[in-house]
Amino acid sequence: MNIVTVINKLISIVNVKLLIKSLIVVITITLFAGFALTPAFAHSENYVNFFTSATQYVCYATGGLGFMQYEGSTGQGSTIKTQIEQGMSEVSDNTDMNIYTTTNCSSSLQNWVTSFYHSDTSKSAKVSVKYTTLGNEYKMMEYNRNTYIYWVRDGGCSSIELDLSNMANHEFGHFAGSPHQSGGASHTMMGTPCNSGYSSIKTADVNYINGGY
Amino acid sequence: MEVTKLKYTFMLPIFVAIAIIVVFGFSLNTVDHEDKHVDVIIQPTTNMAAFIPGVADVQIGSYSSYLTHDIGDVKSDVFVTVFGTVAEFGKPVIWADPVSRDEIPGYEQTYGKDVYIPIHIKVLDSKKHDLAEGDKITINIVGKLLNGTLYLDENDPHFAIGETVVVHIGKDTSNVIASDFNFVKLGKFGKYQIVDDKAYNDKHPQGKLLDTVINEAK
Repeated sequence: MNIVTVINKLISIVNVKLLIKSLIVVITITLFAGFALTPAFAHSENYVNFFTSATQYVCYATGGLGFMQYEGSTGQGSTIKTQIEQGMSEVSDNTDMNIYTTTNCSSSLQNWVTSFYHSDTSKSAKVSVKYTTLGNEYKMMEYNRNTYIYWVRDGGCSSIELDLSNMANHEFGHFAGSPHQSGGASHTMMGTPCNSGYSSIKTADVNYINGGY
Repeated sequence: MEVTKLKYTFMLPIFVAIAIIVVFGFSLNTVDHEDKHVDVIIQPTTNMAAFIPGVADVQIGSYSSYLTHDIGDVKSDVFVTVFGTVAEFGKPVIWADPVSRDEIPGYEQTYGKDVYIPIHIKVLDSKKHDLAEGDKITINIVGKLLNGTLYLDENDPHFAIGETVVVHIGKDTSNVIASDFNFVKLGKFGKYQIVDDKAYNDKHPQGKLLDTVINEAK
């Protein structure tokens, strides 16, 4: 008995119409599962720090920011705040988040922007996350005030000429909940390490952030 | 007739299903692997808290941005490259960031005190600065200590007693944290775990030759 005969016998036994219908169902489920699951395998690190609410208020510690070397001098906390707020706007204006500056600042249990000292001039900034037992979350954004980092208005990714508003764009991406993302400078503002893509938010960033709110 | 039936009613849906599964599988494989950690890295399995006196737990508390992950870009910032074994951890040492925290009421109660952890490494070899085999050099990692938990940055290197490492060490002479303060340049990207003469870290999960990493900051 050859294989064709065997198969023909199977076909004569099997309800072919039912088989075809079943396969169509299976194929459809597989297809939809693929489309549904693919975004979950997108090119990001596996942590999520989205806020519960897309509306957030940020306090600025201008005294702390004044320790940073900006355009060659310190004591420019207000100017630095204005530059960093451009990054805040980049995210707020282009995503579903609404981020506002507030002066109603009386506690560390709020979102803050300030500076910190780190020995490594290659470490430019960081965002810390704090969750309280009540389930609230707050983020502290800090920029390295090491005197060997020269923050500037128009610069690049070198510590001797580090573009503040570009770095602020990136840090507010973290603030919004995005981890570092893979892909080139044209694809994401959240790439690592520092690159020209920090200059503006990209469609991939907007989609990622909006996916969390 | 049976062959035609076979071709058009039985085999065709199977081929379509196989094609779809292959396409789906291919789309998964084309996802960028850049952020996936290949299990070739042999990480210390013990939480670093086991080695630090007075610390009950070590957690990630912040997510930092680095200007580069490549030691080759910052060779001049590397004071010495050490190949050695981790010998001992010191107690957390409190320091005060001169950036005034008065603007942020309750900062320390929420985020913890600034501390640094001294880690003593026994030298096997060194580059850029002569250290004798058997000498000990101290490096430091900086974090926040709150209620017995040490909060480090996601990009901070982790160490374990007995671990064989290569570290590219920077020296901070500003006296802000402490005098002649040694730190690991580029954090976890400036530290390698050495296994069977190959060096591993997050940037090089497949490993690099030991000789290459020892000399990469020269």
